[in-house]
Amino acid sequence: MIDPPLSERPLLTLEDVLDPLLCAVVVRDSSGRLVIANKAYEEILGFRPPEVVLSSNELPSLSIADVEGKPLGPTDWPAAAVLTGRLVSDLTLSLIRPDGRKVWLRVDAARIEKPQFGTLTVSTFIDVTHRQEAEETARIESARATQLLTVLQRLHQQQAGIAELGRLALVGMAPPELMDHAVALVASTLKPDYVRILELLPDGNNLLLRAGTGWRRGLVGTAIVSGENTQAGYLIETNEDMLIEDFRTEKRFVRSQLLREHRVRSGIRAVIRGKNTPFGDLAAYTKQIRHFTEEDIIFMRAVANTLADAFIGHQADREQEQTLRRLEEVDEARQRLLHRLSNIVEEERKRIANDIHDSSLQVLAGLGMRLQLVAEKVDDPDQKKSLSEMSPAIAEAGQRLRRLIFDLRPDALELGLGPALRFYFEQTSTGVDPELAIDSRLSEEAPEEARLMVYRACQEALNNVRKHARASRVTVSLEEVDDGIGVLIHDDGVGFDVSTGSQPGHIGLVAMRERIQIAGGRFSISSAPGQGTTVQFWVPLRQIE
Amino acid sequence: MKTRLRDVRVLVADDDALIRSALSDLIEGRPGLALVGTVGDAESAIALAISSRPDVAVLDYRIPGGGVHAAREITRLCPGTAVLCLSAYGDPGTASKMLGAGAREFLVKGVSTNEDIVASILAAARIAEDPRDRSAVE
Repeated sequence: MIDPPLSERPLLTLEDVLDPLLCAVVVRDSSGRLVIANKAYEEILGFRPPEVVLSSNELPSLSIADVEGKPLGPTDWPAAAVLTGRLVSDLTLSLIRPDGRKVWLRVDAARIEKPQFGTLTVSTFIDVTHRQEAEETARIESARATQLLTVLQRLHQQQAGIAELGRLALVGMAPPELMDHAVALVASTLKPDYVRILELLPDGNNLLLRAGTGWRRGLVGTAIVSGENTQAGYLIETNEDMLIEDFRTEKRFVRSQLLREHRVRSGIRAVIRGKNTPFGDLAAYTKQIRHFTEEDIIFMRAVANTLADAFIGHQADREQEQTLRRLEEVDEARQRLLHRLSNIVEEERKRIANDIHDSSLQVLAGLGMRLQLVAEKVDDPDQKKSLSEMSPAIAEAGQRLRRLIFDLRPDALELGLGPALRFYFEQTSTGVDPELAIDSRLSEEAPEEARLMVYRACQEALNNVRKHARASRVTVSLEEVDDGIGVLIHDDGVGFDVSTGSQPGHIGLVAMRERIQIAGGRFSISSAPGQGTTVQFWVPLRQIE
Repeated sequence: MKTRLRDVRVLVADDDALIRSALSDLIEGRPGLALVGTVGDAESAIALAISSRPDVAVLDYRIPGGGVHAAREITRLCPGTAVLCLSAYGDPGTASKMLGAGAREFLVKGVSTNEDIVASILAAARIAEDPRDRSAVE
């Protein structure tokens, strides 16, 4: 069977063509009267096609908007738009259907000019809700990702800022600079209108504005905030960090004069701990209501804790330094006193020696000479004998005084240490002394003070040898060592147990050791029973004043 | 031993009056010794030595102005005067300083007897008179 030609078959209607389409199609004449609409129209737009429509005003109360969400005006309706000669192609609109569902439509429209019909418009609406929603979701997610990145960046910035603050504290930055640094860090990170650090004053009630930014000129460093009923006071009392959403509705405390004056609405604060009582607090404020986040308070707490650690460490350092300095001062005073004392002793010895020399010794000598003259003139043999017997006694008395003078005032030191020590040893001979060997390798004589110290120490050591060692030989070695005089005195006597600490001549040795150490020298003694004794010391040429 | 034609003229410098008087009594009481004067300080000793040119000047170490200074100046300005040091104190330091300043001998008061002092004065005078005879004391 052969189909008849197309022209001979019954006519294909527009409905036959348009109804199977999935996109809505509507044709209207130039007056907006409906010519035809396909089935999909109602399915997509959610209402039956109105009989007449020229603008959105005549549509049922629908909200139609463009992609940006801007409502469409009456003349923007596709049919109206193409009638005025505008091109409507690939236009995306949103529409809230009468059933409340929002759909996204892709709209195309065209004008048809036919002499027998006049001007017609044809519009198509494709439901792109699905695609549009996917795009919307992608946009939201992208925005969320961007937001997250911003948060991460801010967190990173906060961490880096806190780390830097910690580093500065560690390298010993002074508290005032550290506070300025912390204020700048909070200001640049949270970007509030005001940042401040309050320090609790010793009275425990008022707080001083120690550092800050944003405040009226002249307040930082001088302004005092009363702790009474204010947030500062509350904070110090409760010792807790806090967020203040809005000071006007805050019931726990009133705004301080400082905050009122600066019209502060919101704030965030963290306590700066102290050793016993809090040091104070760190706070940031805004003039507009701002919702500070939990992250923000964590950040503030970290900055405040870094400051607290630094201050506590700094205080501990300072206390330790002070203690050390006090100890040094005491020690220095003690040394000066002992030094002075030993000078006074030396001076006093010299004075006594001079007195003996100038009076007693002279008188004795004059008396001796006079006695000899008298004895010459006496004729009585008995008298002459007894008188002449007095002379040696007077001479002996003089000799004793001279020894005493020498002990007190070692004039022989002018000849050098070696000769002076030998002279001393001979002058003070007991008759049963050990043999003395002096080995002096000093190329030139030391300054008087050092020489005298070495001499006195040797004197003490030699006296100990004489009194306790029962030695047959004692050696004194003198040599120059490191800008000082090194001395070694060794005897071959009975020795003693150093560990008992009760060596013979103990007091004298302690005094000797003390004198030498004060002068910046060193002193040691070694001995063992039956091994003899070795005293070793070193005295600097230039002594510590 | 040479015989002297005149007394040995002696100057005494000591700041102690007791010593001065004992020494002047000793010198004046000895035949052959004559005292030109006693003084109590170095400058007076130098001045008296220059003006009276004694044979021997007996100087104390510790006199105002200094025994060392007096010994050095008298030795320099009065070549004919021998200097003897008579000190109350006999440590080697003092002795070496006086001997270094020109003293012929260093005697210690109370150790040297009056006879020792006289003998030393006479010996020093001989050397002053005839420097070749130094062996007498050295």
